[in-house]
This record gives sequence, C-alpha cells and structure tokens, in this order.
Amino acid sequence: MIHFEHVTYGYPDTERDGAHAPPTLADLSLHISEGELVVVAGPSGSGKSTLLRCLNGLVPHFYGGRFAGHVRVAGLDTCVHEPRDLAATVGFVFQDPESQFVTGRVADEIAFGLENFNVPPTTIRLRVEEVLDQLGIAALRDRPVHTLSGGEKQRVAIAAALALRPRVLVLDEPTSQLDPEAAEEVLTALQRLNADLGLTIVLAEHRLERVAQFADRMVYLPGPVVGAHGHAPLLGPPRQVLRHAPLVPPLVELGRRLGWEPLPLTIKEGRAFLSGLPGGRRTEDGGQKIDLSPPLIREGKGEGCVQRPFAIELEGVSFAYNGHPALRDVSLAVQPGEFVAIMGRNGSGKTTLLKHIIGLLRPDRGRVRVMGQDTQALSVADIARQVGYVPQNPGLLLFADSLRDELRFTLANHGLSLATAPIGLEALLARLGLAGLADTYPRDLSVGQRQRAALAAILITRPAVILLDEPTRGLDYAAKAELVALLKGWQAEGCTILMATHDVELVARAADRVVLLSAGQVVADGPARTVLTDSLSFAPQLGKLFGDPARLTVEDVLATL
Amino acid sequence: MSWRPSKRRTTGDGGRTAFIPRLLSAITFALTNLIGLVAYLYPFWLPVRLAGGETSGHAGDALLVFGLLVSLCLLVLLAEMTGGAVNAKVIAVLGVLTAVNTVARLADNIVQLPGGFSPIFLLIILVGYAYGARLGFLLGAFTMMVSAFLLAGVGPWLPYQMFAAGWVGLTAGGLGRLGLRGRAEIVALAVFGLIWGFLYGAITNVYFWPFVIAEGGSWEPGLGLGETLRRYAGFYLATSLWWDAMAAVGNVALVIALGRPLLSALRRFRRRFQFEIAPELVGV
Amino acid sequence: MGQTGRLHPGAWLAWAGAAGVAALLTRNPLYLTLIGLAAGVVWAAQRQADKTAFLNGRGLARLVATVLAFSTALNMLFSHSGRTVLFYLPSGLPYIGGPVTLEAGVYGLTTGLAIVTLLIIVIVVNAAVEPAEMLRYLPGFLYSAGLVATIALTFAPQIRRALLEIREAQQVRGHRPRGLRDLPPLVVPLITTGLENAIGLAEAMTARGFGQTALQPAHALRLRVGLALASLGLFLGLMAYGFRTALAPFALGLVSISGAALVGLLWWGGQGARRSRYRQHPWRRADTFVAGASAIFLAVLAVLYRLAPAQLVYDPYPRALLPPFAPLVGSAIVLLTAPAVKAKKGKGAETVGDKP
Repeated sequence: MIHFEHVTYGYPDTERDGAHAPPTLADLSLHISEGELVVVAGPSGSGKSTLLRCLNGLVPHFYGGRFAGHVRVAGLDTCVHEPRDLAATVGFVFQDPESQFVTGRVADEIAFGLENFNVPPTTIRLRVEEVLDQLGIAALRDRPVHTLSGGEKQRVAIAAALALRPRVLVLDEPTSQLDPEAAEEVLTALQRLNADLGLTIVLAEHRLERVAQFADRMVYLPGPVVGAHGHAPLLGPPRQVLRHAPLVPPLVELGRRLGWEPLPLTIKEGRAFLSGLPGGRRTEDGGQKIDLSPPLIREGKGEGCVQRPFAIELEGVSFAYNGHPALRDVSLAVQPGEFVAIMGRNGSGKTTLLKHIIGLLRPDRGRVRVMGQDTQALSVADIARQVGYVPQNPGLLLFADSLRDELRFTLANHGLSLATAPIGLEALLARLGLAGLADTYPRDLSVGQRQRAALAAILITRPAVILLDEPTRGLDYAAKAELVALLKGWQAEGCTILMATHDVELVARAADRVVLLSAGQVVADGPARTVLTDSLSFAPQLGKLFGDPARLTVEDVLATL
Repeated sequence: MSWRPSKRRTTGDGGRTAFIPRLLSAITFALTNLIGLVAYLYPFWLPVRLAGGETSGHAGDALLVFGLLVSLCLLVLLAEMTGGAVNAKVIAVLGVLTAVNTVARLADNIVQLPGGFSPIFLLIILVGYAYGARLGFLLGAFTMMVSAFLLAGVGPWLPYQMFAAGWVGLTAGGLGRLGLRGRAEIVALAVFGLIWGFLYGAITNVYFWPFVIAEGGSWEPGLGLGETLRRYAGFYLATSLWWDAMAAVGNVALVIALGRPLLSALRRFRRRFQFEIAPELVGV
Repeated sequence: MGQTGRLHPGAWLAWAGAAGVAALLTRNPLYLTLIGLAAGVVWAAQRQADKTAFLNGRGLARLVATVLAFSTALNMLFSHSGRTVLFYLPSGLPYIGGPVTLEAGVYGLTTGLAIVTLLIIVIVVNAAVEPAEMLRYLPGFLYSAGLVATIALTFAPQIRRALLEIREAQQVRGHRPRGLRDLPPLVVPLITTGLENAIGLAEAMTARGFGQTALQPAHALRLRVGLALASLGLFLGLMAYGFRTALAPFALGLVSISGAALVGLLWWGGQGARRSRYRQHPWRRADTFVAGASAIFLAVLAVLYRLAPAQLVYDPYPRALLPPFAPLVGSAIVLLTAPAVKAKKGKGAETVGDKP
C-alpha cells in the first residue's frame, strides 16, 4: 500500500562550498502493507521526520529541495498530488502539541479538516462525535484547547487527523514532549486503533520500549550517509531489527548480550528467561524496604562529627500558586557532589522546587539555603553565579547570532568576559560535543545540539550546583548517554547536580539519590537503588524484571554474572 | 545516482500571474487606498454644506458615512490581499506575528517600558520592511483588530485604526525596496518610526475631530484649506501631540535597540523556510 | 462553556449597530443616558445567564470620568462660540484665548457621553460573544482573514506564556532587564520561536487539507475587472460629490451603486472557495426578535432624523437650552433591551443540532 522506490532527498540550502551536503534520504526503498503498525527508529537527524513527511507530500511540496524516486501511497504518487489532496488519505500528527492547533476549541479543531474538504455540516457533526468517541475524549468537546494537558492535546490532534477517515495515520514522535502517563495514553490509543480498526499506522518514536511490542515491522534509519554506500537502513520484524540496531532499550540490550531467543520486548517475555540466571528474582519478602523516614537535617552542633555545609537546603518550604498549593512543607538537604534525581507525576511540584532553589520563586513559608546562604536576601542573578539552571525549553534562551555570542552574553551578565571565564570556550564546547560550532547560528542546530548549546550558555560560569529541568525531552539514546557521561564527569569534579526528570533509565544509571514528589510533598527520599526498586511506577525495565536494587542496569546485571 | 531538478514550489497560485490581472489588482489596490485616505481626511476637503441642520448635528452623520466607506475599502483590501493565494505559511506567520504584536500591546506589565511607548509599530515596520508591503499592511490591520477584540476596544474608530496601522506597514514595504543595508538601514528605519509616530496620531485624529469639537474650534464646511489646517493644528496640539511625541521617540528607541537583531532574525527565517510570499499586487 | 441559550452573534451585531448609530447621531444627554441604561440592563441579564462575565467597575468609572473631563475641557478651551459666556481667557493666548462658554462645555460633555455610551455597548457585546466565535461567521471572501485573526487569538496566550518563560530563562543567566538595551534577549527569542511555531502550524494546516483552490482563472479575471471598475466608480463618485455641488445627487448615486457592486463582487468571489462551515449557531426566534427590535429602532431613528431632526439631535449652540425629550424616542430606546428579555428566556433552552 505504501511504496518507496529509490527515494533520494535533500533539503534545500544544504549546499556549502559548492558541494551538496549528503542527502537526508539516500536510495531508500521499502513497502508497507495495509493494516501494519510500523515503527520508524533511529538517532536524531537520521531522516525519520523526512521519511514520514514523504508520506503525505510535505516533502517535497512544503519544503522544496531535491527529490528523486517515487513515493506511492494507496496508489497516489506524492510528487504529483499536493499535500492538501493527500490529506484525505494520509493523516499526520506532529511532535509539538502546542503548535498544531488553528482554532480555540476541540470540536472546531476536529472539524477544520472536514471543512477544508467541503463536507456538509451534518456529516461533520457525525464524524466529530464519532472520532471523539474513538479516542475517548468526548468530555473535552467544548473545552478550549489551551486548557488541555499535553496528552489530551495529542489525542485531539489524532482525532483531527482521523476525522478525514484516512487510510494511513502517520505520527512524528507524538510522545516526545509528553510525560510517561500521557505517552501511555496516546500509545494505547494508537494500538487500539490499529488493532480494532485495522488502520495502517506509521510512527516515529525514540522510546522503543513502549512501542516495540505492538509493531508489526520496524524501520531503523542509521543516520547521515557516509559515502555513497553507507550504512543501509534496517527493515523487518522488530526483533530482527533490534538485534542489529546500535542503541536499544535495556531489556533488549540485556537479551542481546545474554543471547536470549527470541529477544524479549516486554517484561513478561523477559520473565521467561529469569530461571536461567543465577539469583533469579528477589521475592517480595526478600526485598529491601525503602527508608521513608525524613532525612535528618544535621546541624552539626557539637556532636563530634564535622559536617560539610550542604550545597542545597530546604526547610519546611511551602508555596502556593494562586491558592493551589504547589509545595507543602518540603524539606531537603543535598550534600555537595551528590547527584539527586527529583521525580514525580506532572504537576507534583518538581519544577516549582527547582525554581525555588534558583530564586525564581520565593517560598511562602520556610527557608531555602544555597551554599550556606539564605536565598531570601539574594537576587536571581546573585544565585545564578553559584547555581546553573537549565529550564525545560532551553531553545527559548538562544537569541544571539553565534554560539560564541551566547556565551559572551552570559559571561557579561556576571561581569566576566571570554578571557576571564572560569572555563575556556573551546574546552567547554569540546566537552559538550559542540567543537567547531562556535560560530554557527544557534537555531540552525539540531534539537540535541541546541540543548547542549543552552547547557553551555548556562555552564560557562562553572557553577557549583547544576539544576536541570527535564533535560532529556526529545533526545535519542545516544544523546542521552552523552549527557549522562557529561554530568557524571562534572559530578566527579565536585559539582552538585539536581535533575527533575521522568526518565527512569537515566536515573538508574546516573543518580545517587532519588526524591519522589507527589502533590507537593516528599513521599520518598533515599538512595536511588532502593527508591527505584520499590516503586511500581518509577522502576526501570530491569528493575521491574529483577526486583533487585543491585540489578537496575545492564551493567549491574552483567557484573553479577 | 543522479539528481532530478527540483520540484515546483508551493506558492499556492501555481506561479507568476499574468500582466493584466496584476494591473487590475494594482488599480483596485491603489484606488481603494486612495478612497480610504480621502475618506479619512474628509474635514479637509468636504466643502459642501450638508443638507439641513447645524454643523455640529451632522458631525456624527459624517462620521458614520465615512466610517462605512472606510470599512468598505478595508474589506476590499483585506479580501484582495488574503483571498487570492491561499498560502498556509503566510497565514500562519501572519497569525503568529499578530499574536506576538498583540501580546506586546498588552504586556506592559511584563517588561518595564517607559510610559507612552506603543511597542506595536516596531514589528509592523520591520515586517513591512523585510517581508514586503502586503504583509506589512496586513500585520498592521490585524494587530489593531485582534488587540481591539482582546481589549474590548472595538468601536467606530477601529476601521480607521486598522487602515492607519496598515499604512505604516505598507509604506515600510516601500522603504524596504530601497535596498539599504547596515547602519543606513537602521537610521532610515528610526527616522521612519519617528515620522510615523506623529503621523499615525495626526491622521487618526482627523476623522474624529469634527465630532469632538464644534463651532469655532472645529471643522466647518466651507472654510478654506488654510483655516481648516490651522484649526486642526490646534486640536492636534491639545490632544495627542504629547502622546504622539512619546510614541515617536519610543519608536526610534525601539528601532535602535531591537532593529538589527530582529531584522536579521526575520531575514534568516525567510531564507530557511522558503517563505514565499506570492505577489498578488504589482510591485509589491 | 456550552452554546445553549446564547443569542446568535449576528443578532448581537444588529443590536450593537443600532445602539451605536443612535449614540453617534444623537447628542441628547437624556437619550444617551437611557441607551446606556438599556445596555446596562442587557449586561445584567447576560451576567445572570453566564456567571463568568466580568466587569472592572472601578476601571470603568475612572475611564468614564477621564473621557468626560477631557472632552469638556477640550471644548471649553478651544471652541469659543456660544452665547452664554462663563469667563474670559486672555485673548493673546493662541487657540485658547477668548471667551469660555457654557455651550462649549455642554457640547464637550455630550460628546464625552456619546463616547462612553459606545464603550459600554462594546463591553456588553464583548461579554456576550467571544471574538473567536464571531470570526466563524465571516462571509466566504474573508475566510483567510478570519483565519489569521483566529490563529492570533489562539496563540496569544501561548506567546504570553513563552514570554514569561523566556524572561525566567534569561534571568537565570544573570540578565537584568533594566532598559531598552536589555530587550533583545527577551524579544528576539520570542519572535524566532513564534516563527518556528508558525511553520509547524502551517505544516499542520497543510496536512489537514488547507489550501483548496479558489476561483477559476476565468472567473478571477472577471472579478478583478469588476472590482477595478467598481472602485473607480466609487472614487469618481466621491470626488464629484466633494467638488461639484451641482452633481451631488448623481454623485451619491454613483457612490451607492459602486459600493453595492463592490460588496456583491466580493461576495460572488467568496463563493468560489468551496468550504463548508461547521457548528453554525442556529438562528432562532429569539435572534429574530432581537434583530427585529433593533431594526425597528433604527427605522424610527431614520424617520425622525429625516423629518424632525431637532427632536433627536441635540445642539447646544448657539444657546444652551435644556435638551428635549420626545416620548417616541424614549420608548424606542426601550426596544434596545430586547437581548435582556431573550437572554433570560433563552437560558436552559436546547440548541438545535448541537448533538446528533
């Protein structure tokens, strides 16, 4: 039903020094049958988005560029037909829930596509109701779009695409901006659509552990082609592709290393192999208990032991937004050099907590101390000298003409210059994998690079404490690994790191300590291993499999063998 | 492997339009703008004593009639400019830029700006300058309309405001065709902002003038142009000169502070996203 | 918020138009006050039906006082006609020198009152109909324009949030926005992020079929010829009216015909774009009632204006007398409370066709 025949494509404006940059897609051929659920995987910049946009004609019509080969969807050639004609056959859902909506209300939004095709109003009404029921969002019909959560917005976007009764639904990383619960909702809905309606679904996704078990087939795009015959894309059933793909979920990685056949994609499948391992699975009774007692705030008053001053200290902090309590009597003490992960559902107060430390918010009650100093008397700029805060959308920071100017700006704010910076510009960029990009326009960088550019802009002042708010949103496995290596390197040099995140695998690999927040209160605070093992919703894959705090990552397991 | 030549671009209208349709559009465009301007400035040229009644009684009358005329011209212009090449990129960009400008108009509490500034003209001028007269006009008109909706400031003054703000963008497009660069560009834009700071206030007061004042201070049909000008000058001095001076100075300051980075951002964006503005009107 | 019990935006427009025209034409403070009261009644009824309507009472009072004071002072200082002199300013002063008369003051007051009444009408309509809703009822030839405005309204809250986030992000880098020089780090990312979002939006629109063809080329040419001719006619008519008094009736005719032609041509052009409209708010009896009341009101006004303008329009010059009060006009103004009546009755009634 979908045929790619020797498709080669390069975006416009990629000519530098007279030579064409390597094309984004090179001689790609593949077929997708009706009713399949296909997952497209690969690192950032590998051409996943491009491939998907070939399906509904956005490539090449919307973007221009150079296109060779044929793409046929349900018999329609995408070069010949404009995207607006293909829209009735191919529905598309984009990555960013914020910038997909034209109108203000859910029902109007769903009707937008139907209006474009001059469908009579009575039919529109029917289809809108139908599609709202299909996705279980009938209650949201009259809600203004900007009041919805991320997961609800994406489901509305799917509904809007489905309203035209397309034969193929294409989704470009629909869950990358969402938290895990919302991602679950969306992916479950998709799986149901595929299973119940037989809708052909093509989906690009980083979090393979969530989708691999539903996929009929997987396409793995390896990345920029090196030379004329570089690495070829991998196509086939998920297990086959995952066997050879470079970066995969921990369970699959473990299965590969230990030669498990067939490769387990879910925890359930993994359990079957446990009997073959020494140690098996720890039973509930043998499991360690989490220490839920509140952390002791050591004052160090004449008890004979000399305590280092805490890097960060919160004492009974409470804060309310417009009457809604966001933090309730939170107390926390972080030693210098610790790597603490702050986890919790959306809205549990993680960002609020971080903002209190950097001084963007002031507590209604309680005190915040950074490096021993009370933040009450300090301004944000003063605190920023010691504390680096990387916000959720780091792309919003970047405004200068070059990366160098960005760094210069931060330094100038603190009264420094490139010459007197605590870290050398070149050294910092090299460490962040941005070597040689000092003079590029920051907005021309890829998502992962932009994130690291924002990191550079904040960390050029070598703060002693680093706060990160959801740093791994939209990053692929490789970029995440690099980030972990970077942070651990800094931690080894004495930095204190606090990271608010949903990414459990990352926390399992990197963090020393985990603080769980729920509705503004600390519900768990202890060593990472214990907290992660004993929690149902915040356990990494291998944690769920083994139930053993000593075996949370692939390295842990391999070490015990 | 060999490359095929690039596919046709999406401009929505399939390519360049022929000469005659463009000429016709240009005629309509020029005439509707002229009619709008003329209707705007009616106190200066309407010599005929209106039928019956006293002068002051018909001030509201004239306001209504010319208001309808101005609205009609505005409708024609909006329809012409937005109805032809239905290009999703242009519509989306216009919509978002209007949103940004509207937030600017209402966001005095977020960023501290010295009072009297009207931050909306900066973007209208820059967009007209970088993207052409058509988009400049549309951004001006839509900014006024959408911010009026949000401020509950819709009224008979709205079509006039939309037209005047549109002209700011339109003329900025003309300035853009001079092909200036570098410092000359910023200076030209600053002077432009200064002039329009005063001009905007001056022309948006004209239509309201006979309504607000009557008899002796005001417009009377049958007076010579000189006397009318003199009287209007007095009215202007009293009402908005001070306010407009602040706006004019504000424009200059904003252009100097933000002109270069914003222009470079706008131009980069156009290049990067193949942002084609299909010309609907000759020379625009 | 549901759609039940609300009046059609068209009905509100008719009401606002009628009330607005009245406020502009008559300067009679008695009538103006009555119109203002009628609007107030409508607002109160609206408030009952929809609890979320909000009015900044103190802000409004301040605005009213400012407008009235300013207008009165302006007139008293600049307009020196009128028979009842209050006091004299030294003649040497430019513009403001000369007698300060009561008539000027009264005129200023009535002007201010008219402006205030207009504002009240706008506030009431704004509370009743959401702007995004109104934009859905634009005729076909304004669809794209309406879409731009809708997108702007949809994105405004997002942009605002982005501005706050940007400010925080830059604060964290030590940025202290004190003067104009500190604006680029705040404004530039806002614009670039906004533009990038716009491209995303354009993609989403295209992916849902936006951009269906408009008029056929042959028709398009005919349309352009028509528009050019009609605007030429309008222009010539206007010039003739202005400069050749003898031709006045002919000129007015030309103006009207050209104007009508323009509207008709635009309408015809808009038909070409095939696009259906969802969620049309059904036009019900309540809407006819309100529109009808407004139309009758306008008719009464028009007739009076032609035949007996002195009863309707109040002119303080040359001598300020007490404003007249014609019971006919007073009772006509009562018609303006039509929406209040219908809003109450409409609450809780079902809408036709909102559910299948």
